[in-house]
Amino acid sequence: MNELYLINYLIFSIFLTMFLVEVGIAIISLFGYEKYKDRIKRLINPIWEVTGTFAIFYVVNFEVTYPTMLSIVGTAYAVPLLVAAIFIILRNMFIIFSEYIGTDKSEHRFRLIYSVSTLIAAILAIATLASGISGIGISPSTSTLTPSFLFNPFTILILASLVLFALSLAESILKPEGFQKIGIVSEILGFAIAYVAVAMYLPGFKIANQTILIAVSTVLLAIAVIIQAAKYKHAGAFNMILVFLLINLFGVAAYPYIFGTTNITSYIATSALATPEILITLIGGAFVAISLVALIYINYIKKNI
Amino acid sequence: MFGLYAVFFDRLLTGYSLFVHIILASVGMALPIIILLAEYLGIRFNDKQYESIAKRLSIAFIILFAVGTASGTLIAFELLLVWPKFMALVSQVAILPVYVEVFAFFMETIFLAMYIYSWDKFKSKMTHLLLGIPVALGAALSALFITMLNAFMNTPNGFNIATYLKNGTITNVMPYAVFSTPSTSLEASHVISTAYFAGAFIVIAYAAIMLLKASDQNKKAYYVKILKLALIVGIIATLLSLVTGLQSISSLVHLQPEKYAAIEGNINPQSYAPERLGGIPINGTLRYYIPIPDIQSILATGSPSGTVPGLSSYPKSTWPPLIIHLMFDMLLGASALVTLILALFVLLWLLKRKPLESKFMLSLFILAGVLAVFALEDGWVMEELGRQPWIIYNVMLVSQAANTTPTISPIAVFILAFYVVAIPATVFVIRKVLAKRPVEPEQVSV
Repeated sequence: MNELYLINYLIFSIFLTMFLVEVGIAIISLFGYEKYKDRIKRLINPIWEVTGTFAIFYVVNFEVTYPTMLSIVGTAYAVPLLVAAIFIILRNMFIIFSEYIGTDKSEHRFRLIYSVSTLIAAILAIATLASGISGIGISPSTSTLTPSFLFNPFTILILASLVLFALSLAESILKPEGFQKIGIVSEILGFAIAYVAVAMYLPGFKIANQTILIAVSTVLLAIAVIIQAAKYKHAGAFNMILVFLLINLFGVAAYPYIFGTTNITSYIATSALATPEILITLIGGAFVAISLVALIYINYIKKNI
Repeated sequence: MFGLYAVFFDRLLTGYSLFVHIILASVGMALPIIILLAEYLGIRFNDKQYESIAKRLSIAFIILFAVGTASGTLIAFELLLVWPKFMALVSQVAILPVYVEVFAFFMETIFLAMYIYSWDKFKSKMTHLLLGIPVALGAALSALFITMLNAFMNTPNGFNIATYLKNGTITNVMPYAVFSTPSTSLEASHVISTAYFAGAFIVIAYAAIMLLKASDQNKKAYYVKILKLALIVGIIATLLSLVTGLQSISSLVHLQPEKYAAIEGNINPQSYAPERLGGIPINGTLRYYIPIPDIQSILATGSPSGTVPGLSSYPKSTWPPLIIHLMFDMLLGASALVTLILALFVLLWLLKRKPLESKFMLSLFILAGVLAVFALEDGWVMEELGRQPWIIYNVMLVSQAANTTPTISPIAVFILAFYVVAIPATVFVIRKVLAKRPVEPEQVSV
C-alpha cells in the first residue's frame, strides 16, 4: 500500500472518529441536552477545536498527497464543500456563544443551532466523500457534479451507517441512562450497513478483502460487546479506538480505488515533495500526539496538578 | 463572458474572506502576548487585577479564536475550491509551509484548550503561564508559514519556471526552496510586525474607550493596566513595522519592479526620481501630484542619481492598477499619524504629564486603533493589487487559476452576506461576555 495514501487515510480516520463523537453528541443534544448538559460540556468544550484542526490537517494533507486531483475536486465539489464550511463556521460560533453568553434558555438554543450546523456540515462532507469514493454524481473528466451525488443509495447507506457509529460513540462516552444496549446494537448495525454499501456499490471491492474485513471486524465487534457487557470505565475511549480501526479497515479494503474505478495512486504525488511530506508528518504527528496526551491528562484525568 | 464574472466573484470572495480573517488573526496574535504579560505581572507582584485581566482577555481571545479559526478553515477550503489550478501547482511545488503551518495551528489549538480550562489546576501558577507560551508562539508561527506561501506568490522559486511556462510540466522541484524565496524574510518580518501592530492597537483602542467610560477608580486602574500592556506591544511593533516596511518597499525595486513602479507612480524609469505625494491616475499616467525632489531615488538606491523602475519597461497588460500609488500614500499617512500619536504619548510621559489621564490622549488612541487597522488592510490590498494580473508572479495569471463554475457566484454572495452578519455578532458577543464579567471591587491591586 502506498505510504502517502496510508498517511492521508490515517489522518482522515482520526478526524472522522473525533467528528463522529461530536455528531453523536449533537444528535443526543437535539433530544436531551438539558439532561446531559454538564457531561456534554465537559467532554466537548476542550476538544471541539482540536477536531476542527484535524479537518484542516486532512484538507492540507490531501492537497499535498493528491496534487493532480485538486482541479477535479476543487471544481466539482466547490458548492457542497463551501456550504459545509459555512456550517462549520456556525458550529464554531454557536458552541462558543453557548459556552460564554448563554443564559439557561439561550444556551439551549445556541446548542441546538450548534448541533444542527454540525449535522448539516457532516451530511455534506460525508456525501462528498461518498461520491468521491463511489464516483456517483461526479464526472472526473469534466469536473462536473450532479445532485445525484447526494441522493443515491450508496451515499444514503454510508450516511446511515456513520450516524449509527456516531450514536454508538456518543452512547459509550456520555452513558445516557436507559440507552446502554443501543450503543453496541448501533455499532453492529452501522458496520453491516457500511459493508452492504461498499460490497454493492464499489466495483473494485475484492472478495478477498471482503473476507478479511468481515473476519477482523467480527473480532473487533466481539471485543466491543465484551467491553460493553463488563461496563468498563473507559468503554468510550475503547469504542473510539474500535471505530477508528473499523474506518481504517474499510480504507484498506477499498484501496486503491477512487471515483469508482480509478486507481488512486495515479493521483498521488510522485514529486520531490513525497519524502519531506512523510518526514514532516512524522515529526509533526509525534508533536501532536504528545500534546494531545498532555491535553487529555490535564483536562480530563487530573483534578489538580 | 461568464468567466469574467466568475473570476470577479472568486476575487471578491477570497479578498473579503481574507479582509475579515486578517483582523481576527492580528488580534489573535497580539492578544496572547498581552494576556501572558498580564498573567506574569499578576504572579510576579501578586496582583489580583492583572490576574483578572488575563482571565477576562483570555475569554475574549477564545471567542475571537473560534471565529478566526472558522474563517481560516473557510479560507483553506476557498483556496482549494475557488483557485483549484493555483493549488494544483502550489501542491506540487510550494505546499510545505502550509503543511507545517497545520502543526503550528495544532500547537496553538491544543495548548489553548489546556490554558483556558486549567486556570486553577496547577499548584504553581507559573506552570499555567508556561502553557500560554505555545499559544502565542503557535499564532506567530502560523503567520510566518502562511506568509511564506504569499512570498512564493510574489517571488516564485523551487522549480523550473521556464519549462513550466513552455509546456506546463513541473520539473526540478526543490521542496525546501519555498522556505527561503528572495522575498520571504522581509515579507514575513513585515507581516508579523504589522499584525502585532494592528492587534495591539485594537486592544489599545478598546482600553481607551473603556477608560473614557470608566466611572470609578477601580475600573480606571484596571483599564490603565490593559492600556499599558497593549502599549508595550504596540510601541515595539510600530518601530518594527516601520523598519521592515521601508525595507520591503526598497526590495521591490529588484524583486517586483512593476509593483514598485505602480506604488511610486513611475511611468518611466528615471534617475533623480522624486517621491510623488498624492496625484490622480488619468489614462495610465499620474497627474497633479506633489513631487519631493530626488527622495525616491535616494530611498530606493541610496543615491540621488540612482535609477528607479518605470512601468513603461513592461507590457501594459502586466501593469498593476495605478490606484495602489494612492493606497501607498494613505498607508504612509495612516502609519505616520499613529507614530506621531505614540511619539506624543511618549513625550508627555517623559514630561510626567500623566497622558493616560488625558481625555484628549485617550481619544487619540481610539483614532490610532482605527488608523492601525486601516493601515493593515490598506497595505495588504495594495500588496495584492500590486501583483495583478498575476496570482503567481510571472508564472500564473489570476484568470488562469480561477474556478469559473457558474455555481460559485451565488455561493460567494451568500458567504459575503454571512460574514456581514457573523462579525458584528461576534463583536456583540464579546461585549456581552465582558459586560457579564464586570470589574469587581476585589480586583483592585493589592
